[in-house]
Amino acid sequence: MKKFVLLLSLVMITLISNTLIVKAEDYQNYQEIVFDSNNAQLLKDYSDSEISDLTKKIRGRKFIGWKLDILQDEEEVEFISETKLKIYNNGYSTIKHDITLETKEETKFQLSASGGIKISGKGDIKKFKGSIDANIKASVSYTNTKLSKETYKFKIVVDPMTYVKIVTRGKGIINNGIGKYYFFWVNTKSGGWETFTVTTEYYEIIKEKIR
Amino acid sequence: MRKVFSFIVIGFIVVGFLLIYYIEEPITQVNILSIDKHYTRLITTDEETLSIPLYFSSDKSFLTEASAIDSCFFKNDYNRFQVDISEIRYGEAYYDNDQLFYLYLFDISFNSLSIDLIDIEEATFEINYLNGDTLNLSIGDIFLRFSEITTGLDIDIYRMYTVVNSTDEIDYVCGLVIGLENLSNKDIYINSIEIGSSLVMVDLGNVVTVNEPPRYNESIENILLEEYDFLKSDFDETPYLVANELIFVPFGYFETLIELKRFPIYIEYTDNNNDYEYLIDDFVFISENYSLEAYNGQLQEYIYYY
Repeated sequence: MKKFVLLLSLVMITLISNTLIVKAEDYQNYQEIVFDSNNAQLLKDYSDSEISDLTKKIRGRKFIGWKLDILQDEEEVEFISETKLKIYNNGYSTIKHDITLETKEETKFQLSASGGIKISGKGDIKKFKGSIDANIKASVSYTNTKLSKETYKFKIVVDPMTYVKIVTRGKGIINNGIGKYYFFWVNTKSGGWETFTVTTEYYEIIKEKIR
Repeated sequence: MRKVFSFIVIGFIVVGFLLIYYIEEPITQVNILSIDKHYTRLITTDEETLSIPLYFSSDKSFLTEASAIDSCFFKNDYNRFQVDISEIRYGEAYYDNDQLFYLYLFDISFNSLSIDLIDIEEATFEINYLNGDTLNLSIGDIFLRFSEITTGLDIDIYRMYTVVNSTDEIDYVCGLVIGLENLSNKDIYINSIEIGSSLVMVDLGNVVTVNEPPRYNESIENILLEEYDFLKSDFDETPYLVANELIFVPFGYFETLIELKRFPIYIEYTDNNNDYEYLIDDFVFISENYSLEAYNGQLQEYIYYY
């Protein structure tokens, strides 16, 4: 029986000791995003009727193409993201655990859209679908935010019946707005768009007992 | 005959255009950018490497080929340590003042060294190539300690993060928020906390208990409830009795403020008149950003002529 428990503990330690890689997450799921400016807000915080009213205010028509209006221009935000990872030690021995934190470009730069505006993308590189992407790039600066994939490794001691979690806070830039598409001077679709760029991330370690 | 001659002339013109289009101009010089950074790391295994970012104006130069390198050194006026190139990784392309640069990460391993510490202020990265040429690149300060992390001690951390303040020029770590837990039933006194760098000191004499965890960018005056001067030459190292509470420990800088992003924590403590050391591996408290704009003022430019 003792051998079986020992073997089980070894298997558990081996299983949880594999290097964990932090996955990218959607900024809209962050615990908190707070604007420096009191008047600024996220695209998702506008109601459908507000978006509709704002869209109606876009003046003039176009033969073919998008007409845009910017609601938030380079607004600075602070955020608390979800917990990046949790490592549990359910065993009876202290373990040394290798953690790999990997921040991908898709985490650093994210997009969202609503209504008739869509997002397309292959792999890590996302963009707004169609010609609106170029219009937005011309209106707000989001092309020079390309960042390398960053990988950090560190080793941590996790006591029995304890878990470690990594939490991220940070600063970022939000641009958002609305757009109307015209085809032969007729408005055929409209919607909202938003870009989110992480400028700095601050990491925190928390160890707690498993209850 | 005239047709054949015309074909030959047209053929020469087409081949000429193709050659002009496809044959690249020979490289005559490569501009290299290095960054003065502050590296402080705990190297826990033989496989662990230190990544040195270097930017090259060409991605087709032998300067970024590991097989073209004969030997490498970290050095200053007082010390010179031979190190090994484990790998050279291509990162990303960046613009600096409209000039395109390619980021290469030189992963340095230390297998051939049999020492416990590397302590080099204002270090130069010397790269000797097989053709006899040498690059001497300024890379900042390097503080490395070679040791395993410690386990089975009577203290542990339960929370840890940095607080960052700003001046017009720099975002700097003004202190560490750390929760220390006494796992024994004896009194444990912390005698010192270090981050491995001889240019930064953890000011244990000014530690305060924080009931409400400060924000990551809270001003140090709000935390300490008094003015605090970061530039000091001496610190009061009063032992701190571990009381299972969250504390804020301010940082002091000896000469100038330094941008710290990743560092280890070394805690010396006394438990029943015995001295111990608790080593915490270097943790990324603030994410790195390799964009050249982020290193304004820390960049050095070199030119290599072929």
